[in-house]
Amino acid sequence: MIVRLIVRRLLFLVLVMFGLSLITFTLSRVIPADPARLMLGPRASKAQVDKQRDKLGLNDPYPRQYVDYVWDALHGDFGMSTSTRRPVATDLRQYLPGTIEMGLYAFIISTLIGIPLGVASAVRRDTLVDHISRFVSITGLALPVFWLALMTQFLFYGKLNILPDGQRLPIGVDPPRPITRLYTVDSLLEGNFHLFWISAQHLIMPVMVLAYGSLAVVTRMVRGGMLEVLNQDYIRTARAKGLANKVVVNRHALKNALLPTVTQLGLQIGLLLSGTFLVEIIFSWPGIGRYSVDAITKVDYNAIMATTLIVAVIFVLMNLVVDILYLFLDPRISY
Amino acid sequence: MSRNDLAAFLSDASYGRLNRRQVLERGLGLGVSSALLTGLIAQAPEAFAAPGATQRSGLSRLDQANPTTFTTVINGAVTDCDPHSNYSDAGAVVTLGCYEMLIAYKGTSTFDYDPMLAESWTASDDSMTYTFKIRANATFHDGSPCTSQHVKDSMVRLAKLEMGPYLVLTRFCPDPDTQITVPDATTVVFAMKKAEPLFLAAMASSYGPYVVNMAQVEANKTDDDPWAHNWFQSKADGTGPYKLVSNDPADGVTLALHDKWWGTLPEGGFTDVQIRIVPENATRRQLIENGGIDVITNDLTQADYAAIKQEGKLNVITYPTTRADWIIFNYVTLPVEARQGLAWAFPYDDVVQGVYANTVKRTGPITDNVRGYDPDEFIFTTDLDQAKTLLEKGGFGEGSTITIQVDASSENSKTVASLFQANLAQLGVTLDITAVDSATQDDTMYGDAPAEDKPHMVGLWAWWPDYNDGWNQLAPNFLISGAGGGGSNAGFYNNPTVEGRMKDAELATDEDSLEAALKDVLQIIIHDDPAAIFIGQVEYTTIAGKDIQNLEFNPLYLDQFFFNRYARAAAS
Repeated sequence: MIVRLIVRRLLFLVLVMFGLSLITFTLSRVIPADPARLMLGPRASKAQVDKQRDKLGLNDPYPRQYVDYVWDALHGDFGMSTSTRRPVATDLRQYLPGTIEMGLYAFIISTLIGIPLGVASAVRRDTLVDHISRFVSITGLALPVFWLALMTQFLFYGKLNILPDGQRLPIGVDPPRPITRLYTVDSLLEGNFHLFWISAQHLIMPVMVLAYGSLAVVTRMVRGGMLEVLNQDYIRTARAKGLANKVVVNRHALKNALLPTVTQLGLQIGLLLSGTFLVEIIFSWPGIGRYSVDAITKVDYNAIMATTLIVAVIFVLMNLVVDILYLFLDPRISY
Repeated sequence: MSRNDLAAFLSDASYGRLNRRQVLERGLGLGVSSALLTGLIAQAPEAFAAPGATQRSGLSRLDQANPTTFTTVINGAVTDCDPHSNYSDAGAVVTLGCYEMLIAYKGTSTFDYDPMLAESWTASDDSMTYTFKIRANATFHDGSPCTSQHVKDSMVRLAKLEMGPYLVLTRFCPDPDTQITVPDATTVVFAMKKAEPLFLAAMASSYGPYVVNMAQVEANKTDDDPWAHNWFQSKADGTGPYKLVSNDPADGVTLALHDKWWGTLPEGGFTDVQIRIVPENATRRQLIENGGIDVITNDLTQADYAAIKQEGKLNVITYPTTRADWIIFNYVTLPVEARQGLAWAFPYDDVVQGVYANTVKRTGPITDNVRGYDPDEFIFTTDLDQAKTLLEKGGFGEGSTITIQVDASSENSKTVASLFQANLAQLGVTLDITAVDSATQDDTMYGDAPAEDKPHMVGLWAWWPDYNDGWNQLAPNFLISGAGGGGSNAGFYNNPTVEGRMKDAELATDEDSLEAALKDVLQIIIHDDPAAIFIGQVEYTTIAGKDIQNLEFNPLYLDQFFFNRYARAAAS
């Protein structure tokens, strides 16, 4: 069943990618700006701009441009970025791991804290734990992420000076040998604990900011789910049978309460991995969010299309993972 | 709250005995106190901060511990390091570090020159022959010597690449193959086709006339790329004081001293340079205030400069530039009376004081440090009565609507437009402000759409010349050849007298003729047949640590640095 599900979803992914590539291609050509002009700057002459347009293939008919793009993309060539003047594939290899590293840690932290906090909040309703949990949820949802990022940076770098202002590593410090391209993981694999510590320090603030928002959502979902489940008859029956509270909560209630949370977790990780550009801009973090925003403002067609496709793949794959997890969480579900 | 009260409160909370009112009251108190605490921390004395907070943030910035490293920031990547195609300030930060022109503008002067790769030069009395003596000990980064042949070949490359700033050279030397001769290994002779009094000014430009290592061109050229442009876009090999160590579009640029450079650093000079990419304004401010970088130029807001100046912990250096700001008129859809009326209606004082914080001197498009500036030029002031009369004559009287398009990412542009809107409202004229993204604004500036499809005004627009030449400042912006993608004449300005006098200025064989021609042009484009609302000459501000010495900024080298000239004072 799982195999059938995966195959179906992958076929669906191919359709999604084609559809998205067509929509993105069309929309980016509709933007009233000339990428060649943006690339060369305001002082370039018309002749230079025209020459650059020819070089970039922008004077070809649109269908031809689209077909060329798709054909190249199928061979792993996403074209040249007009904003960085490097192959888009090279840019993605650099920027995507930055976002994945930050997003993964934020996801892990928000899940590891959010689920137990949500459970405790539901079980000890209207106690101090519950109030703290609700405070965290409300502030996490209400505070704009850019404000939180700026305040965090102001406090920990600007005033207390105990954390660096941003970036993955200080300029001039070489990254570890690229294995996973996640600096913390690669430096540990290399046995370079000093570099691990440096890259971890640089991660602390952006991960804290991202995790806080995600934590708020997870806590709230888990709390709501648990409250609903804890009022069910089978929970009352389980208690009446004399089962320990821990067993009732963790084995009977939590599993059922997690179903809507798992859906939300899938969305959350999709959001985190697709790049939260505000955090990346404030912390000068070289991630896919910042790269896509730069691409959009510079009308970098190839980069826009590639990043859109990457984000689509991430979301579709995350949804697939969620659906597979459902199979384990709820035996009633079948596809 | 007493200790007993606190204990009781915590007990009630842990047993779930708090009512909703108590929760809300405590929460409100916590919220208000958080804001108060944050404000207090912001005002906290240095002693409140962690040890070493007044020094550089040295946790993981290994390089920051090294006083011979100079750090600054830019807000976007350097995507083109080729000095013969780069036309951006960000790129010039790299090209000025790694390459050299023959001469450079001297100090803060826009009329005098310092030797650079050339140790001396002469100009014939008729301004037709320029002879440069190259330093015998100049070497490229690969260690090979630089000769006069390299200079000639570099100029040929600049001309034939036909990218970016090639017109800086070819306006005076359209055929470098024949016009440049090299009688010996250290002498280069430029023979002009007519008298060119501004040739030296162009040779000191930081856009274009650099000398590159032609061996790299030979080694890296291809059939499709006969001038090795692709190689030079990401690498560098010049005679400049620094080698390009790395250029990462995400993190920034690293330069290191060229150990065979002909010159010497001052005491305390910098052997390494790091140029970080920091897109966020608040982060840039924190970096300079925290000592995370040494210098920042023109990348903060006026409010930031004022606050930093008030604190007094950093050097705040303000200096004039050759940049002029203006709002472009649509020449086709606005009759001359309407344009004059709008120029009278503009709130100059409010804009200069409120938006520019008095860092603008009222001038036309040519600033007071550029050839062709006319100290007697007409300057509009705000006169709503004159404005009303002229607007009515021009068909834009009370009840009419005028459109302006501004860049949504520019707070200054939006504020200026709002102030203008308020003034026009007093005349019963509606100013319809459209804020668009930068890409759309660029399309309005350079796109092929006819003038009738464009707004009445576009702004703010800023321009500065490539070198000290008023013609160079005006040509792309006010000649009809610069319209519709040919340049920056987004308003389709097209005055026949201006076209004629600009031609006279272009062909002028002496400075007096040049200035006389430009004087006529200025009278027309400022007043008689206005092309724009000219706000004036802009000052830039650089913030630097107090330990950084020898900082000096030339009005023509905007946002650019001569890293080899600066030094760090020894710690006392």
